Amino acid sequence: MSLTGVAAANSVWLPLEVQAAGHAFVNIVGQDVRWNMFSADPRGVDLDLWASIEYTDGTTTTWTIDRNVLGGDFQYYRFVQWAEWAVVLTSEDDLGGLAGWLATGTTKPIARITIFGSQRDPGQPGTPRPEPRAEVLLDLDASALHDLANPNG
Amino acid sequence: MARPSRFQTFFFGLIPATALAVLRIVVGGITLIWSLTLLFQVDPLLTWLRVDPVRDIGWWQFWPTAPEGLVVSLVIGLILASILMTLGLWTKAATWAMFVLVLIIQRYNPFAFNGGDFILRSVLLLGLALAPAGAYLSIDSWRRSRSIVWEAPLVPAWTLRFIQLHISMGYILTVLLKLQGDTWLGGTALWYAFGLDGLTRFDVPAWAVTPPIGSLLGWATLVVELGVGVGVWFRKTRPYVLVAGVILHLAIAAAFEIGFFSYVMLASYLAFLPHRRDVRMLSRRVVLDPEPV
Repeated sequence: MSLTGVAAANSVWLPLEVQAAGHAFVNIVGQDVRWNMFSADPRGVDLDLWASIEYTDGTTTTWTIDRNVLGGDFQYYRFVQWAEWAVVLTSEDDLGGLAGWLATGTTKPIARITIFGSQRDPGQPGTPRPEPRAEVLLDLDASALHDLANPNG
Repeated sequence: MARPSRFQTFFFGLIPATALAVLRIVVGGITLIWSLTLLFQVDPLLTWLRVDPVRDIGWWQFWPTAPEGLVVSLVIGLILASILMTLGLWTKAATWAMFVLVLIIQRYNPFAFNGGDFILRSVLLLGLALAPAGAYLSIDSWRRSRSIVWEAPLVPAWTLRFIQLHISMGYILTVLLKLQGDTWLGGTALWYAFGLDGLTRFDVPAWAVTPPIGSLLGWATLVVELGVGVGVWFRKTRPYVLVAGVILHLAIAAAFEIGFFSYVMLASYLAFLPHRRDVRMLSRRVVLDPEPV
């Protein structure tokens, strides 16, 4: 975090108008930051995201974030960063974008895409970690996917 | 003539451009790799997965509906600017272009970037854009003198101080925040960190990340971070704390897949490269007493 960003984040004692102007300035000049380094404790919950793609011929594949990409973890971590936010801040806009992208990545007709997210609590230190809790975050059929993949019709 | 205060000397004295030049070359190289790896991720990270500027990041985003071709062009522009900056050709324009382009690109999906990316943008690129980063070891300097200049020219210190202060304060602030939590002092922080399967490169046994070993490692992390934040300002302690910081960041890079974070932090240490100690005031050209960095 930049010192400007720190100052803006700790300006609660200033009048609201000044705070707003400070945040706007920080925003414009790019001194804002989303940085987990500035948290008191490491995040305990392990997050994961994957999708099941069901084709019209009855076959199914599972999409996961590829750890073995050309750019190594330089590329992998960006996807993981986004996916972690997407799991926690689930919105149809965010996940619909993923479904639309997956739908454009194949020529085989798709019947359904289901996006799953999981969260695993850390458990007590030193004890076996609990099983992750998986849930369906978004479930789209062929017509909804067609609309997503072809936003202009 | 009044003797300049230590404050004036520290911020507004002249220092050799060596640290800025080396930092420029390394940061340019890192940004080149950063943008090359991103080029192949524009689709989907900066297109399909682009975030809503109003809902997610406030009100500032360059052309929210920009087509993919434009976003690809921005990344290619960043690649070209990174090459120019590394070579030191049209350095000032190239570095400002890099800062603005990285800012625009990150705004399309800030969720896809982490602290290392923001340090690269908000501290290193901005600091180098403000600085005479092309004054030494650059094509720009060669074009000015038409010969290779081996002695670094003197440049104003304040832009290097901008970078140094941010790095130092970053470490101090993170320690202060960690002291407010329970896990770093309690010895369980590494247990939680190594529980993130998506980011760890290997599993570690529970005994290594829980007390007493976990406590020692956690406390050592705090000591190193505080040591870098404070000790980097003193000539005698600087080499030791920087070596400790290098070991810490190499260990983080070896254990976690967190992209550019460790490499950006290591690059930032170049801002603390030692140099000749003849610090002179900007306009008076008065040789002062030796000053640390």
